Amino acid sequence: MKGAPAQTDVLIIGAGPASLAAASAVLGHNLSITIVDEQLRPGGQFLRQPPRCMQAHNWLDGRLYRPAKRLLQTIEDHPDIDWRFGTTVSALFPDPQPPGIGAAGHSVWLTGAAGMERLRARTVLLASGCYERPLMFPGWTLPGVMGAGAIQTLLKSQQVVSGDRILLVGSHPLQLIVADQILKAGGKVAGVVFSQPALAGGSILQHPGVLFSHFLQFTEIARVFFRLRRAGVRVIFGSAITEAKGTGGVLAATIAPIDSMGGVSGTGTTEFECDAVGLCYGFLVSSELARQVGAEALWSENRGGWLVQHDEWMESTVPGLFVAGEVTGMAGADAAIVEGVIAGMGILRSLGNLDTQQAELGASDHRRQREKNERFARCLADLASPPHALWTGLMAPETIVCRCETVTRQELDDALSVHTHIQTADALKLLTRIGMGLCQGRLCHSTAAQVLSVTRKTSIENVGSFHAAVPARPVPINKLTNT
Amino acid sequence: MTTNSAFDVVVIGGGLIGCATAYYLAKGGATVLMVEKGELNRQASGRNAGSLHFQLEHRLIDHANGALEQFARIMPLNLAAINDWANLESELGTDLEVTMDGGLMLAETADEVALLERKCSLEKRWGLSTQLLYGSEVQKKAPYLCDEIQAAAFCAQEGHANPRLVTIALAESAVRHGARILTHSRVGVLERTGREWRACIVRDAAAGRDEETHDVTGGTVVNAAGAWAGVVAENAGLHCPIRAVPLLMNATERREPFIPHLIQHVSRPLSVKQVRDGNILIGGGWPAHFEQRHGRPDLESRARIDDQSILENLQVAQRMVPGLASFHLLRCWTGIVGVTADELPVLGEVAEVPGFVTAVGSSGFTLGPTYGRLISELILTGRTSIDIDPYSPARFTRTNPIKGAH
Ligand SMILES: Cc1cc2nc3c(=O)[nH]c(=O)nc-3n(C[C@H](O)[C@H](O)[C@H](O)COP(=O)(O)OP(=O)(O)OC[C@H]3O[C@@H](n4cnc5c(N)ncnc54)[C@H](O)[C@@H]3O)c2cc1C
Repeated sequence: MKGAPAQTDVLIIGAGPASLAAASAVLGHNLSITIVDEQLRPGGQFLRQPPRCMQAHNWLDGRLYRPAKRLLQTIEDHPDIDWRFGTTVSALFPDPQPPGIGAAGHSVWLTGAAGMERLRARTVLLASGCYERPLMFPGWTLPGVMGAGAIQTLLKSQQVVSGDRILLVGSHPLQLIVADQILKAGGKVAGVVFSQPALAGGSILQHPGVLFSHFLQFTEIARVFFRLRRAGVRVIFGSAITEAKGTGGVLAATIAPIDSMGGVSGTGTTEFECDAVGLCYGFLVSSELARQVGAEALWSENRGGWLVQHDEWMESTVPGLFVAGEVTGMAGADAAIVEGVIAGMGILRSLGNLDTQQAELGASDHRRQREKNERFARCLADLASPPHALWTGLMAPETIVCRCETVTRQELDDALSVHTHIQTADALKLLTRIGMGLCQGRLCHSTAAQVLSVTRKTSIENVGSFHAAVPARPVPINKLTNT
Repeated sequence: MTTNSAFDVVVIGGGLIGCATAYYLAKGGATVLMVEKGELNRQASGRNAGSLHFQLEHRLIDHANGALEQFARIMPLNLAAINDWANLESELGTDLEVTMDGGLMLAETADEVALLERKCSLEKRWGLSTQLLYGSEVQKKAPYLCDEIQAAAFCAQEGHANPRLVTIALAESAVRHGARILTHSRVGVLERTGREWRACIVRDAAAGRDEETHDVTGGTVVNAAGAWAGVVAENAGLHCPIRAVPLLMNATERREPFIPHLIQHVSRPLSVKQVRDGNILIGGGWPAHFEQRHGRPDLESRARIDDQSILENLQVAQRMVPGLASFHLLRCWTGIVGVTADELPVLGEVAEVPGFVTAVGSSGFTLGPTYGRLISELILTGRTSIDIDPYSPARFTRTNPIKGAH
């Protein structure tokens, strides 16, 4: 790219529900809007669409999907938006010469099939969602062990069932939905295993407000639960996966009862024959682009790891960088839509298209809804998370923690016992290479931090995250040198 | 600290230079306390490119021609460092991924070739034999380089070591010889009382504990605070003309080995090497930016990456090594290095301020083990095996007195 980089008023990273809601809030104000997503169509993970050439019958026909699908229908292909699909934001930089008065401004590297393009943006909305949080246990790196969400993505976007007999293990109710979708697509579910005791679901009754405001979600989950039972699927509570067995692929998995602290009792293990295991222990938010430019993020074990902090307009601590959706804390699609609208108002306000009062008018209903959503999300997060000790308690010494660099639990323990001065995740990374591989620590960062915090008896905040380095995703050098 | 608070030597800074100094001192029988404000090896020493360069570097050659002679005064240290690196792994009894398979400094134009030739003859006078290769000889030595290279200076001992490992190994060996290390502890005010230095140490607050302050004394203090050496000197009422400069580094994904050498360029900032793990490190001294705090450069935060620096650095690298084109760029980072105006290190003490020894500057990864050895000789015996007068802090007293209130 020769000459000056292109410029946009509003750059939205991600094309999921939060992004689409923000875009529709910002539309009609004569602002240039650019939406970037790695996928080929909008919708994000929640509304993952099949390719245009593929006819999907009854695509996401559940009630839960309706509001977001309506939003998607109104905005997909909107001509006033510069859609950039199949494109990755590889890095975010503060703009040394911000375009326009009062604007902080950022510039980004957009990489796609054609190469890398630099784009300057007066405001950025990071709505990059989340990814599945891995749980590490002997055998978790075997082919066939995958995220339950990945199984779901293959169903939604490719109508592919990931195995002949799939075992779902986790703590998140999403695995019930996935099990149901597998059955509907003609697959077999070996079982659904929850780490919570059976009665944990009942504790929702202690939060009647939440139960009432999110009645739809709960009844949907309950209906799915009974549908699975009718179909003869075993649903087991109070157990966790302790091993995946097989050579070259999963052949079986063992589960064992756990106590409320996450301790595994040696007795009563059950072995399941299966050729795929779906893990559903929650999510980690994709906050790395925000952390790359120094936005404050705080650790939340149950809401998705390093959550980007923001003000009442969803603006992060870095001026001009807004956030919405999962990056602020796992809360689901409805909450993401609400945050997207508020962020949209915040952006219009910061660009001077609305004054504070006008923006407040557009945001106030959504603020009230956001409070309800937050209550639900907090409550769900606590219900849907495994006991703390499970994250670090299942690994054997030879279990790999960092699969890119093949760093085992034993190597971490050794490094920490020899190098007693190591206190931070970054120092552990520098010494052991954990997190230095192609996934850039996405998979291992939370486990590394947890091992360190348990060993040093200190908080995750003290241990810190791996530094969010540029680029956010690996980029071929020739894409950068051809610009 | 409960047990002892009096040491022969207090070393300030837990980078390569501080750790090397602490190691050689402890091995020589001194009681040593090394104090690091953060964690060991987390500043320049753990973030550099790991090049062992013994030829005169681009940044030295790049200056006005007359100055080349002046910069060449680094050569005795470079020559000593060749030996120190050849022995370091056996000295410490551990693998540091030291590779000394040679380094090539490239020239693309006729002017650059002339510069390279002048540089080589100068090096020869100082006793370093670099071999000049022309045209196809370069290709024969390094077939992975681009065809346009007209000449290259080959230094057989050049190479690289792993910055992740070296400083930590020195620190561990220092501890084995009885040195004590305090991390998360900053040396504040330094005062000379009688024949001793009293150092105020501020230990960071941690879980269940507030920030703590205590004093230690040392017969000698060593300022090995890298880019922060100026601040440390100020805390002793002295002046040390060190400028903090933030620099960029890039690393690619891992692949099969294909670059056995260290690659540099005679007139562009560039260093390229492939480490044992298979990653290619690309750097050479491209600028980064300090974050600002209260309107001043903030030396306590990571320096911010300049995206233009990345692109230009990669462009030069890919032009020299076309095979890099298909590699994924995996990670960029910055580090802060301490630089003197004449590019030579500051080594030793000035007569007026006895017991305050400085060891900073120049290519401190390549030269760090040598600085550590020489400084320990100076402290333990009053003499050094190489003349360090050219690097004395006294050279600044004419223009910029290193001596302050004391
Ligand atoms: C990006 C980059 C690439 C480089 N590449 C090369 C290369 O390829 N080859 C080469 O030879 N050189 C290279 N260098 C230079 C080399 O890294 C440095 O010269 C060398 O590491 C300096 O070592 P040091 O111990 O002085 O500094 P540092 O490693 O910075 O250590 C100084 C330490 O002092 C501590 N400190 C400061 N103030 C206080 C205080 N008041 N109390 C306690 N502790 C304090 C700091 O926290 C720090 O840890 C590079 C530098 C950079 C930044």
